[in-house]
This record gives sequence, structure tokens and C-alpha cells, in this order.
Amino acid sequence: MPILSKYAAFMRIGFKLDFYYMYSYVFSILAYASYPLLMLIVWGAIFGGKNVIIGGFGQTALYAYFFVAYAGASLQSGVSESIAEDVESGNITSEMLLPISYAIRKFTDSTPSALANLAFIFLPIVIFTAIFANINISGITLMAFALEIFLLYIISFLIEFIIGVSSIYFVSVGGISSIVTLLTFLSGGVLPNTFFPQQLQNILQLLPFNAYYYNPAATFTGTLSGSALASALVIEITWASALFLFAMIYWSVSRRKVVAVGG
Amino acid sequence: MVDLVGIIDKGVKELKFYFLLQVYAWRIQLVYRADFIMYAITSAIYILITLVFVDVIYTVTYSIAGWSYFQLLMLIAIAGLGLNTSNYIINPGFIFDALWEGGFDNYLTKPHNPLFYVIGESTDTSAIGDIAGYFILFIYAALNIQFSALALFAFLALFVLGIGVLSLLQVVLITVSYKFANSAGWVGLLIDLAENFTRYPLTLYGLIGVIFFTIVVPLGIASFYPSEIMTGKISLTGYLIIFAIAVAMTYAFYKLSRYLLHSYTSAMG
Repeated sequence: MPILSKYAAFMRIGFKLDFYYMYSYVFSILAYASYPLLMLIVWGAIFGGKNVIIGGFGQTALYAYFFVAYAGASLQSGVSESIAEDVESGNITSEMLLPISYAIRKFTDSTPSALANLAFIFLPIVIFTAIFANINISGITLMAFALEIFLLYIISFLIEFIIGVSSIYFVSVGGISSIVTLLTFLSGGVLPNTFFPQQLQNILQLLPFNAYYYNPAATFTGTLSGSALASALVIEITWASALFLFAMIYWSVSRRKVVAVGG
Repeated sequence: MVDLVGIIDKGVKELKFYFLLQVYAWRIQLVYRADFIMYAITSAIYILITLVFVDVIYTVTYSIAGWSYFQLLMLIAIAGLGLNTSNYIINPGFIFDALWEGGFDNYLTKPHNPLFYVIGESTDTSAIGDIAGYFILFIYAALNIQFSALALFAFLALFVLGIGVLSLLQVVLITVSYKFANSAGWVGLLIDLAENFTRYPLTLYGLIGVIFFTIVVPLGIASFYPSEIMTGKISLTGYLIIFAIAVAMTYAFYKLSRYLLHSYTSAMG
């Protein structure tokens, strides 16, 4: 399969690039660990050693939630910036001339980073959290959790891809990207959704952004289970399929609008 | 004999040039109007999320480390104002690229202070939305706490100095990156990481945390201590000590960045 070996080569390059900037990589690990650590300190002061439940979470469960949610954030794709750079510099024309799919090329560019983060950030933090927070997770819940992690990457990649392709129309898409980042942050990044009023929870539940923080972390801590977990998975799969279809149609329409000088 | 008139003339000339660079940066920003509006909306949403977060926290507690709701809002507003003003003044990635790719040569050939010139060109106008948002939050918090005119003056003096320390710290980190590493992405990450912590009272992190955010990564000088002045939590002696530390750091970071920049070698940019 020579075509697959071409994409495999892009993935190998992606891994090499990721580890070339070692200082940035180490600091990114620290950055992912910093927010949960901060929450540990702040919520430690709020709980004040009392055995109470706040927003459906005990103190240890809340700590576990933040650690897993932020470990999951390391798997989010950031491909929109790279597509916008291609459009702005005109390189997209050269890319489109290559005998490979631009969309798959971007997927293979983005995936090594997520796989490296899965191995060196996500799994160590999740295992550490499971041990220290004494999390007992059943086989089925573990499978649902794994599926959510996969969907987290797919949904984030597709949303980022759509934003990136929008740069064909707007050139600079940093603003749109920031808004989406904030919406994901609101969906369980700042606080678990259960801390918000019920009506806001109901709205957040229907959006794709719950896949980023809340669903995986709440599944891991056992807050999201049973039929609620099943319905969360159905919503995520539906969003992933819809975003995939939209991304493909959007790209095939937008590629005809590409105008570039140089490249 | 120090040529005072000459120094003032040079300073005025550099300031005029900086103003021109500002006009140029804003013209570029206004080309991407839609993007600029998006950034402004993002800032508003982010500050709204911050308010929601603080509201939720204060539904379950009366204070965090002795700070009431409005006092914490004041701290968050000052921390956000300090960091985003520093982000407006200096863009670490831009300066690192200029050094790494050889573009710094251009600045050396011009009749201006190269450090001042590259800082002026690295202006990040997108930070203005955050600055405006945090300023509104600052006013909102200030209307709900009591402080004297003298406290406001003392706050402004330390806050401006704190922004200077923060900006020069970033220049030092970039030049260290240029000398010893192959990327400066970690500088922004370090500052973002530290910023998260300085949105809360430093006393939450114990003595080590206080020392770390005062001397090692001195973001506290542009956030925690100015907030302590506004909320009446710092003594006159404490204020003078922090002010002296800030002056010493500004001088040390400036000298250090100039020294480290001497290692720059032309790459024919």
C-alpha cells in the first residue's frame, strides 16, 4: 500500500517535530498539570478538610475530575492554525497539487502529537489519578471511557479542520478558534457541568464540546454513568458523524475558492 | 558630564518612533476586522466565565485565604490587566523568531535602540480586548471595595513597575531561549502557567509559593501586591520592600537582556 506508507512518513515526521522542541514539550506537560494542581489548592481551601459534597462531587472525586479533564485536553487537535498558515502563506496550492488528500495529510500531521501526549501525558496522569483517588472502574465503563477519548480527538480534529478551512474565506481565524476554545472550556473545563444551573446543563449536554472535558472526566469519576453515559455517547457519535460529513462537504466546496499568490 | 539634553532628545525620538510603530500595528490589525471582533467577543466570554467561576466558588464559601468576593475579583482583574498589558507590549514569539531567523539584523542597522525597536514591532494588538474587559472588571470590583486616593496612587506606581518587570522578564527568557534552546514556545507557556496561579492570593501556596511568584517568576509584582494595596492588606514597610524589589528587578532584567543579546550572531536575515 504505497499511499499508506506516504501518510506513515508524515506521521513519523510529526513525531520527530514534536520531540525536537523538547523544552516546549516539557513545559506543555507542566502546563497541563498546572491547572489541576491549582484547583487542588483552591478547592482544598474551599472544602477545608470537611467531608461534604459540592456539585455532586466529594473532594477527592473533584480532584480526580480536574486531573483527568486536563489530561484529556492534551489530546485536543490544534490543526486550524496549521491550515490557516498554509492559506495565508499560499502553501496550500502546493499541498493541493500533491497526489495525496489534504484532509488526510492534516490528520496524519496532527495525530502524532496526540499519540505522544496520550502516551506521555494522558495515560500517566490517568493511572496516577486512579491509584491516588482510589477509583474503581468497571470493564464496561473503561471501554466507554476509551471510546470517549477517541471521540474527543476526532471531534476536536473535525472542529479544528472546519475552522482551519474557514481561513480560505476569512484568512485569519484566530478569533473564531478562541471562541470555540472558550466554549469547550465552559463545557467542563472551568468546573464540572453539575455545578451549573440545570437549564445550562441541558444546553451543554446537547453540544459537541462536552466531549472535550466533561464527559471523559465525569465518566472516569463515576459521576456520568448508566443511561446518562449511554446518551452522552450517542450524542458524541452523532456529532462526530455530522461534523465529518460537514467537514468533507465544506472542504470540497471551499477548495475551489482557494486563491493564492506565491506558495 | 552626563549629556542630559541629549538623553532626553534621544528618549523623545524613540517615543515618537514607538508611537509610529503603534499606528502601523493598529492599521494591520484593522485589516482583519472580523478577527478583531472575534477576539473581543472571546475576551468578553472569558471574563464572563471567570465571573461564573468566582460566583460558584462564593456560593459554597465566604472567603478564600481571607479574600472576599469583590477582593478576589479585584485580584483577578489586576492580574489580567497586568499580564495582558505586558502581552500587548511584547510578543515573545515574534522576538524569538527575529533572533532565530536572523531578522534581528534589520533592527541593528537602523538608527534606533534595537531592543526598543523589536519590542515596538512585536506589539500584540489583539490583547486590547482582554485589557478592556479586565478594566471593566477592575472598575466593578473597585466600586464595591473601599480605598483611599493615596492607595490608588501607590497601586498605580507599583502596577506600572510590575508590568515593566513582567515585560523585561519575557525578554530575558527569550534571549536565554535563543542562547540555549531551539524554541521559545515554553516562555509563553511558563507565563500562562504562572498567570493561572497569580489569579489567586499567593498566600494560598505557602511561603515557597510567595517567594517563587515574587522573586523567581515575579508575576506577583504585577498582580498580587498591587491588589493588596487596593484591598488594604499590605503595610507601608511591606509596600516599600516590594517596590524596592521591583526597581532592582527592572534594572537587573534590562542589563541581563542587553548582555544576553550580545550573543546574537547574524544569520543574514
